[in-house]
Amino acid sequence: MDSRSNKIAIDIGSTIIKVAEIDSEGQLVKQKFHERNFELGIDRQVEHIFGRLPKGDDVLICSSANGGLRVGIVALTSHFSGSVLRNQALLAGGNPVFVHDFDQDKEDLRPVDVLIVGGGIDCADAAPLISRLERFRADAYRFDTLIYAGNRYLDERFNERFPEAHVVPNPLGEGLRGRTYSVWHALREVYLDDLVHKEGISELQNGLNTAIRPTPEVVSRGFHRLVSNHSSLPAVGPCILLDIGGATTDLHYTVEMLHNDSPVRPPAGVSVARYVFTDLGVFTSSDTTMRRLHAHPGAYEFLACVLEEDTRDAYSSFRAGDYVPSPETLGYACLYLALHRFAHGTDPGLPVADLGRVAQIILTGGGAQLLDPTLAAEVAELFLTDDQVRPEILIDHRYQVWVEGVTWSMHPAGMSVMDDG
Amino acid sequence: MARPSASACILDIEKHRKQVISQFWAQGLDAEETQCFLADLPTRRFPSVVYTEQRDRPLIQPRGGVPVFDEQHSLIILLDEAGADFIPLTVDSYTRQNRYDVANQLLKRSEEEEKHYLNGYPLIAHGHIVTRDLYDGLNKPISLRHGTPDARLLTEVALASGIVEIEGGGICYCLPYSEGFPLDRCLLYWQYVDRICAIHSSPGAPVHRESFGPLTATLVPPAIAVVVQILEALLAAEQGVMSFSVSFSQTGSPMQDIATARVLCDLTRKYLDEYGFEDVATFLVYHQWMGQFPTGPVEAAALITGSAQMAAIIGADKIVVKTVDEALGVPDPESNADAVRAVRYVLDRFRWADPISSKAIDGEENLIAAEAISILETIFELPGVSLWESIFQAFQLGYIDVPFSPHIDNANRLITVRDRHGSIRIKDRGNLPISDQEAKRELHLCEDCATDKTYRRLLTDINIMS
Repeated sequence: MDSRSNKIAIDIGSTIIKVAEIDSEGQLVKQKFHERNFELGIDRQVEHIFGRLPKGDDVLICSSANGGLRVGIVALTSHFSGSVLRNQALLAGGNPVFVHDFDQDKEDLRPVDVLIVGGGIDCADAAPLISRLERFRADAYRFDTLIYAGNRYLDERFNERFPEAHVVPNPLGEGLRGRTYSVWHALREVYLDDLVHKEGISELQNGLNTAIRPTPEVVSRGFHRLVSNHSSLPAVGPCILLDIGGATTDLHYTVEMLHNDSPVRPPAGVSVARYVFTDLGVFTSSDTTMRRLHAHPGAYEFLACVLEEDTRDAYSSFRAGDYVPSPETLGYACLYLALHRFAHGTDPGLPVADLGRVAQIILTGGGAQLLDPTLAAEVAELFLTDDQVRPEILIDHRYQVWVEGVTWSMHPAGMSVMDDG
Repeated sequence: MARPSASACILDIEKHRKQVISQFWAQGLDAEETQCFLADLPTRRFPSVVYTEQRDRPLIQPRGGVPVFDEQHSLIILLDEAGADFIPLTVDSYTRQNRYDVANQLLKRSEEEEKHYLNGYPLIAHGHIVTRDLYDGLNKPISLRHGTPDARLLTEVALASGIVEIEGGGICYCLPYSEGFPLDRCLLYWQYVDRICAIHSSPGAPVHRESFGPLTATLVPPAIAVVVQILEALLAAEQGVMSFSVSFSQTGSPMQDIATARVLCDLTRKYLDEYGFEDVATFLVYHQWMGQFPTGPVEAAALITGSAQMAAIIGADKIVVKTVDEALGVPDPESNADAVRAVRYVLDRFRWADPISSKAIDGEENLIAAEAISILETIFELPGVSLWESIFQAFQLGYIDVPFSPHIDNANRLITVRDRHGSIRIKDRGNLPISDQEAKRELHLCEDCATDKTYRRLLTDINIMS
């Protein structure tokens, strides 16, 4: 094989830099992992790994080093415009912190990196949105970047009030169809700016012909490729991908597994969606993961499933706060808690899944590497009745989903007609 | 660019299949056992065999499904004795939505209380062993009628039950039936259905697939029905299906019905041949009026006999029959049997030896064909690696637009009306990739009704038969 035609893919994480060589067929040739050297900084460390800063077409870089962008959404309705904006934020690798109606009491005003304001379809007669936009006070929120993605007839009016706002095409267009991926594009740009600003990687970006992308967006694209049967990794039926990382656990799923009565759903017509559990992870979020498990009514059942030792002793120690979980146990805890929440739709904006319909669960990310597929299957079975489908468990030891995403130049079918923002 | 190709055939079907038939509701399905069972099935149970027998009228198929086994069995006997050539198995709505547990609960309740809590036969709740007994001794094909976006398990159970005509498709069972089931997922799931139908086929006895051409049955222009039918025939052929029926429903215009039938048959053959699927046998199915039915029994009976005559005129291989109770609810077995008898009476007594031709029909045929070819060729030019992806994109771009589809992926920009002869005309093509010349021709043909743009006019066009 001619290694000159191979591509180099780099994933800069918060603790690890992953470097992969990928052949012209998109197959992984080899990969190496380097612990982040925070003294050197990203630019210099990458230069050190390669002997020079990598340049050109054959280098693909993504990063989650700055954590996902925290996104706040204020929309005309949370079910329509809010849902579409939220979905695009998720697919772009962002972490929606809140989705508010204009008139909703602002209970959750955590600071965000990006505040998106939108709503309504493109139409001249827009009295409900006009009155709400007039009442909208941006200073009630804490954000770095303001984006307007609402009725295009109100673009100028919004910009007059908020000259610093980025105005992008309304994703709802004229027909509630969510076909323009303008917010998706805008967030990717903001993400890169944020990354350059926070991590100082301008030299690395300057040498590339393509933008550094958010890692969750790359994984999401890899999952889309998988479930579209364009991957060497076969996906069978309704499928879940859990990317268990140090700080977060990302859930990607095909939407036909959602419960018919789920009060929250991704926008109609979307076939693959994402949700991020910002409190579940095996490294920086290990404390919150354990706290969540501690408060969980099924903790004993979970420990009995995953621990070889005497469960009662372990549980006593766990309740007393003395239990020190292994990285494997933390990985299983992320899986257990994520599935439990997905089965009950307990988190804001998370739909209710019918886990009995899931055919396959793919586990990827650093936290998944130590897991055993048989034991992971037993954890998943805790949510199933006897008459429900047993999902196949696949551990992605070679980070194949990421490889599939970073090398797929085609837009996923669901994004095939998006404009260029 | 994604042209239809046999290389799109699912290679790792066994992996998918293992997962589908390992679930509880598969109730002991075994692919090998199904294969053996189908090998022993009488050949007249296969539609492809019955279709190729010598006959001088369209074959007759009613619809029908009730929850409880004994009643379904009685219905089958009644329809068989009434002269139905195909026996239907219409599946209930919960099973269509993959809610097998609910279907099972309501089946039990229906049995206990002797009341119908389901609007069809819950095939998966009954299972294949029980269902086989329904057809013991029957020497006619059974047709599975449903409307299921994810019909993988349903098809497995149907095949294992000896039902070897599977209606549906990734487009025709998604766009009219579902608001939000993702179209791309539906297309992928129907690849599975097509593939297992192909796997269980043998050269003399292929499992038959049939598409559902009526779509929303509401002012659907013939070109759209033709395009969807051809695409589903190509998708099925890609997976190895060897016997396929294209269909459409009575448009309300005899001229348009004749022209549509010709275009549908000719273009289906043309495109299958063009992409290397010369061996796929195709047949034509005609649905009696699928729109709002008249409530009066006299008018309903007249419509049924009239459209029976139309099926003969267009040379359909099969007619799917309605009942006089159509506007009132789920028809009872007697009503179904009466409809079969009425249609059979017409078809046995009024035979058409030669096709009808006229200048107007030829003009209509040319227009429908030109529009369908324009749309299909545009779809084949879309970027992508698979036909199913091009189809998915075509819906997003509005290149295929089904009037009155509730589905979110449908553009709903195409506006159609009836002209003074009752033919369906394209008033606003939306994003449909037909030529300016074709669009002008359509507008010209409905010029005389262009002044009335009211909602009432639209309802009149929709309810033309009621």
